[in-house]
Amino acid sequence: MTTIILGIHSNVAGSEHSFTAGHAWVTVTKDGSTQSYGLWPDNHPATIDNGPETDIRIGLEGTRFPVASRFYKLTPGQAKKLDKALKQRVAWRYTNTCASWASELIAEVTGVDIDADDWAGFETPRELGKHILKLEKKNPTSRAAPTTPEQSSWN
Amino acid sequence: MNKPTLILIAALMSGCGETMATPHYNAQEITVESAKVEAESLNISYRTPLESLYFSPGIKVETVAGNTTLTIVRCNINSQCDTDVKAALNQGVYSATVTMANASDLNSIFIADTNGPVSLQTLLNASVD
Repeated sequence: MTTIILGIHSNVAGSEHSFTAGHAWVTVTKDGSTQSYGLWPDNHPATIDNGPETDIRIGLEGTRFPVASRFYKLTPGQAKKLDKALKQRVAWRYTNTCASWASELIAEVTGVDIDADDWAGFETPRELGKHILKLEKKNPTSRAAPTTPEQSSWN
Repeated sequence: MNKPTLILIAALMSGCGETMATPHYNAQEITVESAKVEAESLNISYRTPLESLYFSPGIKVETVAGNTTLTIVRCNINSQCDTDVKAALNQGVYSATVTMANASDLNSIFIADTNGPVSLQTLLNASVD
Protein backbone atom coordinates (compact mmCIF):
# COMPACT_ATOMS: atom_id res chain seq x y z
CA MET A 1 0.00 0.00 0.00
CA THR A 2 1.26 3.47 -0.87
CA THR A 3 2.37 5.53 2.11
CA ILE A 4 1.45 9.19 1.76
CA ILE A 5 2.89 11.88 4.00
CA LEU A 6 1.57 15.42 3.86
CA GLY A 7 3.93 18.15 5.09
CA ILE A 8 3.14 21.78 5.84
CA HIS A 9 5.97 24.30 5.87
CA SER A 10 6.79 27.94 6.51
CA ASN A 11 10.16 29.63 6.12
CA VAL A 12 9.37 32.30 8.71
CA ALA A 13 7.91 32.04 12.22
CA GLY A 14 6.92 34.71 14.69
CA SER A 15 6.65 38.48 14.79
CA GLU A 16 10.39 39.12 14.33
CA HIS A 17 9.51 38.70 10.65
CA SER A 18 7.48 41.30 8.81
CA PHE A 19 3.78 40.88 8.08
CA THR A 20 4.36 40.19 4.39
CA ALA A 21 7.61 38.20 4.61
CA GLY A 22 8.27 34.63 3.63
CA HIS A 23 6.30 31.80 2.12
CA ALA A 24 4.28 28.77 3.19
CA TRP A 25 3.60 25.60 1.24
CA VAL A 26 2.91 21.87 1.47
CA THR A 27 4.78 18.78 0.35
CA VAL A 28 3.46 15.37 -0.55
CA THR A 29 5.69 12.33 -0.15
CA LYS A 30 4.53 9.14 -1.86
CA ASP A 31 6.67 6.07 -1.24
CA GLY A 32 9.72 8.21 -0.59
CA SER A 33 9.32 10.62 -3.50
CA THR A 34 8.52 14.22 -2.51
CA GLN A 35 6.82 17.01 -4.47
CA SER A 36 6.07 20.55 -3.30
CA TYR A 37 2.90 22.58 -3.90
CA GLY A 38 2.48 26.29 -3.16
CA LEU A 39 0.12 29.13 -3.95
CA TRP A 40 1.90 31.94 -5.83
CA PRO A 41 0.53 35.10 -7.47
CA ASP A 42 0.63 35.25 -11.25
CA ASN A 43 2.83 38.35 -11.28
CA HIS A 44 5.67 36.85 -9.24
CA PRO A 45 8.80 36.59 -11.45
CA ALA A 46 9.28 32.98 -10.33
CA THR A 47 5.99 31.95 -11.90
CA ILE A 48 4.46 31.79 -15.35
CA ASP A 49 1.31 33.90 -15.60
CA ASN A 50 -1.36 31.35 -16.45
CA GLY A 51 -4.28 33.79 -16.26
CA PRO A 52 -7.41 32.31 -14.73
CA GLU A 53 -5.89 28.85 -14.25
CA THR A 54 -4.96 27.66 -10.77
CA ASP A 55 -2.25 29.47 -8.79
CA ILE A 56 -1.19 26.21 -7.14
CA ARG A 57 2.36 25.81 -8.52
CA ILE A 58 4.26 22.54 -8.41
CA GLY A 59 7.91 22.17 -7.54
CA LEU A 60 8.94 25.81 -6.96
CA GLU A 61 9.92 25.24 -3.34
CA GLY A 62 12.06 22.15 -3.72
CA THR A 63 12.36 19.72 -0.86
CA ARG A 64 14.69 21.50 1.55
CA PHE A 65 13.06 21.78 4.97
CA PRO A 66 12.47 25.33 6.18
CA VAL A 67 12.28 26.77 9.70
CA ALA A 68 8.89 25.26 10.51
CA SER A 69 7.58 21.93 9.22
CA ARG A 70 5.00 19.40 10.35
CA PHE A 71 4.18 16.03 8.82
CA TYR A 72 1.01 13.92 8.74
CA LYS A 73 0.61 10.32 7.60
CA LEU A 74 -2.62 10.09 5.63
CA THR A 75 -5.26 7.39 5.57
CA PRO A 76 -6.50 6.24 2.12
CA GLY A 77 -9.60 8.41 2.56
CA GLN A 78 -7.51 11.46 3.40
CA ALA A 79 -5.24 10.76 0.42
CA LYS A 80 -8.30 10.92 -1.86
CA LYS A 81 -9.29 14.26 -0.34
CA LEU A 82 -5.76 15.51 -0.91
CA ASP A 83 -5.75 14.52 -4.58
CA LYS A 84 -9.04 16.34 -5.08
CA ALA A 85 -7.85 19.45 -3.23
CA LEU A 86 -4.62 19.71 -5.23
CA LYS A 87 -6.58 19.60 -8.49
CA GLN A 88 -8.85 22.49 -7.55
CA ARG A 89 -8.55 25.85 -9.28
CA VAL A 90 -7.38 28.24 -6.56
CA ALA A 91 -6.60 31.93 -6.98
CA TRP A 92 -3.97 33.79 -4.95
CA ARG A 93 -5.34 36.98 -3.37
CA TYR A 94 -4.37 39.10 -0.36
CA THR A 95 -7.29 37.40 1.36
CA ASN A 96 -6.23 33.95 0.13
CA THR A 97 -2.47 33.83 0.51
CA CYS A 98 -0.01 30.97 0.40
CA ALA A 99 -0.48 30.63 4.17
CA SER A 100 -4.30 30.62 3.89
CA TRP A 101 -4.18 27.90 1.26
CA ALA A 102 -1.66 25.68 3.09
CA SER A 103 -3.52 25.98 6.39
CA GLU A 104 -6.92 25.32 4.80
CA LEU A 105 -5.62 22.37 2.79
CA ILE A 106 -4.37 20.69 5.97
CA ALA A 107 -7.73 21.34 7.64
CA GLU A 108 -9.68 20.04 4.64
CA VAL A 109 -7.63 16.86 4.32
CA THR A 110 -6.85 16.01 7.94
CA GLY A 111 -9.28 18.05 10.04
CA VAL A 112 -6.34 19.62 11.90
CA ASP A 113 -6.54 23.39 12.36
CA ILE A 114 -3.14 25.09 12.18
CA ASP A 115 -3.89 28.75 12.68
CA ALA A 116 -2.42 31.29 10.25
CA ASP A 117 -4.55 34.29 11.25
CA ASP A 118 -2.50 37.46 11.71
CA TRP A 119 -3.58 41.09 12.13
CA ALA A 120 -7.09 41.85 10.92
CA GLY A 121 -7.59 38.21 9.99
CA PHE A 122 -5.05 38.19 7.16
CA GLU A 123 -3.26 34.85 7.06
CA THR A 124 0.52 35.02 6.96
CA PRO A 125 3.48 32.62 6.74
CA ARG A 126 4.92 34.04 10.00
CA GLU A 127 1.78 33.20 11.95
CA LEU A 128 1.45 29.78 10.36
CA GLY A 129 5.13 29.12 11.15
CA LYS A 130 4.59 30.13 14.78
CA HIS A 131 1.73 27.68 15.20
CA ILE A 132 3.56 24.86 13.41
CA LEU A 133 6.43 25.30 15.88
CA LYS A 134 3.97 25.32 18.80
CA LEU A 135 2.52 21.97 17.69
CA GLU A 136 6.00 20.58 17.04
CA LYS A 137 7.09 21.48 20.56
CA LYS A 138 4.31 19.35 22.02
CA ASN A 139 4.51 16.50 19.53
CA PRO A 140 7.54 16.61 17.21
CA THR A 141 7.24 15.12 13.72
CA SER A 142 9.54 14.52 10.77
CA ARG A 143 9.12 13.09 7.30
CA ALA A 144 10.44 9.81 8.70
CA ALA A 145 8.22 10.00 11.78
CA PRO A 146 4.95 11.72 10.84
CA THR A 147 2.04 12.01 13.19
CA THR A 148 -1.53 11.03 12.40
CA PRO A 149 -4.27 13.65 12.36
CA GLU A 150 -6.11 11.71 15.10
CA GLN A 151 -3.13 12.02 17.46
CA SER A 152 -2.80 15.72 16.69
CA SER A 153 -6.43 16.55 17.39
CA TRP A 154 -6.12 15.12 20.89
CA ASN A 155 -3.37 17.61 21.82
CA MET B 1 -11.87 43.49 -2.93
CA ASN B 2 -13.60 46.48 -1.33
CA LYS B 3 -11.95 49.84 -0.67
CA PRO B 4 -11.60 49.56 3.15
CA THR B 5 -9.87 46.21 2.72
CA LEU B 6 -7.42 47.67 0.20
CA ILE B 7 -6.66 50.60 2.51
CA LEU B 8 -6.06 48.21 5.39
CA ILE B 9 -3.73 46.07 3.30
CA ALA B 10 -1.77 49.14 2.20
CA ALA B 11 -1.47 50.32 5.82
CA LEU B 12 -0.29 46.91 7.02
CA MET B 13 2.21 46.55 4.20
CA SER B 14 3.69 49.99 4.77
CA GLY B 15 4.23 49.23 8.44
CA CYS B 16 6.33 46.16 7.91
CA GLY B 17 9.82 47.49 8.50
CA GLU B 18 10.48 47.96 4.80
CA THR B 19 11.43 51.62 5.19
CA MET B 20 15.22 51.32 4.98
CA ALA B 21 16.93 53.12 2.07
CA THR B 22 17.31 49.98 -0.03
CA PRO B 23 15.26 47.01 1.13
CA HIS B 24 17.61 44.09 0.76
CA TYR B 25 18.37 40.51 1.65
CA ASN B 26 21.11 40.23 4.24
CA ALA B 27 24.23 38.26 3.43
CA GLN B 28 23.22 35.64 5.99
CA GLU B 29 19.86 35.14 4.28
CA ILE B 30 21.17 34.28 0.84
CA THR B 31 22.93 31.22 -0.54
CA VAL B 32 25.75 31.95 -2.97
CA GLU B 33 25.62 29.19 -5.57
CA SER B 34 28.67 30.40 -7.48
CA ALA B 35 30.94 33.45 -7.77
CA LYS B 36 33.78 33.91 -10.19
CA VAL B 37 35.96 36.92 -11.04
CA GLU B 38 36.89 37.10 -14.72
CA ALA B 39 38.78 40.04 -16.29
CA GLU B 40 36.84 43.09 -15.09
CA SER B 41 33.65 41.41 -14.00
CA LEU B 42 32.11 39.17 -11.37
CA ASN B 43 29.66 36.45 -12.30
CA ILE B 44 27.50 35.61 -9.32
CA SER B 45 24.58 33.24 -8.79
CA TYR B 46 22.53 33.31 -5.59
CA ARG B 47 19.32 32.15 -3.99
CA THR B 48 17.14 34.27 -1.70
CA PRO B 49 14.56 33.05 0.81
CA LEU B 50 11.30 32.07 -0.91
CA GLU B 51 8.79 34.88 -0.66
CA SER B 52 5.51 34.97 -2.54
CA LEU B 53 5.38 38.79 -2.32
CA TYR B 54 9.05 39.65 -2.93
CA PHE B 55 11.90 38.86 -5.27
CA SER B 56 15.38 40.11 -6.07
CA PRO B 57 15.47 42.24 -9.24
CA GLY B 58 19.24 42.64 -8.98
CA ILE B 59 22.16 44.17 -7.12
CA LYS B 60 23.33 47.60 -6.02
CA VAL B 61 27.09 48.07 -6.17
CA GLU B 62 29.27 50.39 -4.11
CA THR B 63 33.08 50.51 -4.20
CA VAL B 64 35.02 52.28 -1.45
CA ALA B 65 38.81 52.16 -1.08
CA GLY B 66 39.15 49.10 -3.28
CA ASN B 67 36.46 47.09 -1.51
CA THR B 68 33.22 46.44 -3.35
CA THR B 69 29.97 45.89 -1.47
CA LEU B 70 27.03 44.26 -3.23
CA THR B 71 23.53 44.85 -1.88
CA ILE B 72 21.06 42.13 -2.88
CA VAL B 73 17.93 44.17 -3.55
CA ARG B 74 14.59 42.88 -2.19
CA CYS B 75 11.59 44.18 -4.07
CA ASN B 76 7.83 43.82 -3.70
CA ILE B 77 6.38 42.12 -6.78
CA ASN B 78 4.08 45.11 -7.34
CA SER B 79 6.90 47.69 -7.16
CA GLN B 80 9.74 48.93 -9.32
CA CYS B 81 13.10 48.88 -7.50
CA ASP B 82 16.38 50.47 -8.52
CA THR B 83 19.35 48.25 -9.20
CA ASP B 84 22.80 48.84 -10.66
CA VAL B 85 22.87 45.35 -12.15
CA LYS B 86 19.79 43.36 -13.08
CA ALA B 87 19.56 39.68 -12.14
CA ALA B 88 18.01 36.93 -14.23
CA LEU B 89 15.88 34.35 -12.42
CA ASN B 90 15.92 30.75 -13.53
CA GLN B 91 14.51 27.89 -11.44
CA GLY B 92 14.98 29.75 -8.17
CA VAL B 93 18.54 30.91 -8.87
CA TYR B 94 19.39 34.54 -9.62
CA SER B 95 22.36 35.26 -11.90
CA ALA B 96 24.09 38.58 -12.51
CA THR B 97 27.28 39.92 -14.02
CA VAL B 98 28.79 42.84 -12.12
CA THR B 99 31.34 44.94 -13.99
CA MET B 100 34.08 46.24 -11.72
CA ALA B 101 37.23 47.99 -12.85
CA ASN B 102 39.29 46.65 -9.97
CA ALA B 103 37.93 43.14 -9.72
CA SER B 104 40.54 41.16 -7.85
CA ASP B 105 39.54 38.33 -5.55
CA LEU B 106 36.45 37.26 -3.67
CA ASN B 107 37.94 38.41 -0.34
CA SER B 108 37.65 42.05 -1.42
CA ILE B 109 34.04 41.76 -2.51
CA PHE B 110 31.36 41.90 0.19
CA ILE B 111 27.63 41.33 0.51
CA ALA B 112 25.75 43.90 2.58
CA ASP B 113 24.28 42.79 5.90
CA THR B 114 22.74 44.79 8.73
CA ASN B 115 25.33 43.23 11.06
CA GLY B 116 28.18 44.28 8.78
CA PRO B 117 29.28 43.17 5.30
CA VAL B 118 30.37 39.57 4.77
CA SER B 119 33.01 38.63 2.22
CA LEU B 120 31.88 36.72 -0.83
CA GLN B 121 34.58 34.13 -0.19
CA THR B 122 33.17 33.46 3.29
CA LEU B 123 29.66 33.04 1.90
CA LEU B 124 30.87 30.79 -0.88
CA ASN B 125 32.74 28.60 1.62
CA ALA B 126 29.63 28.41 3.81
CA SER B 127 27.43 27.25 0.94
CA VAL B 128 29.92 24.53 0.02
CA ASP B 129 30.14 23.17 3.60
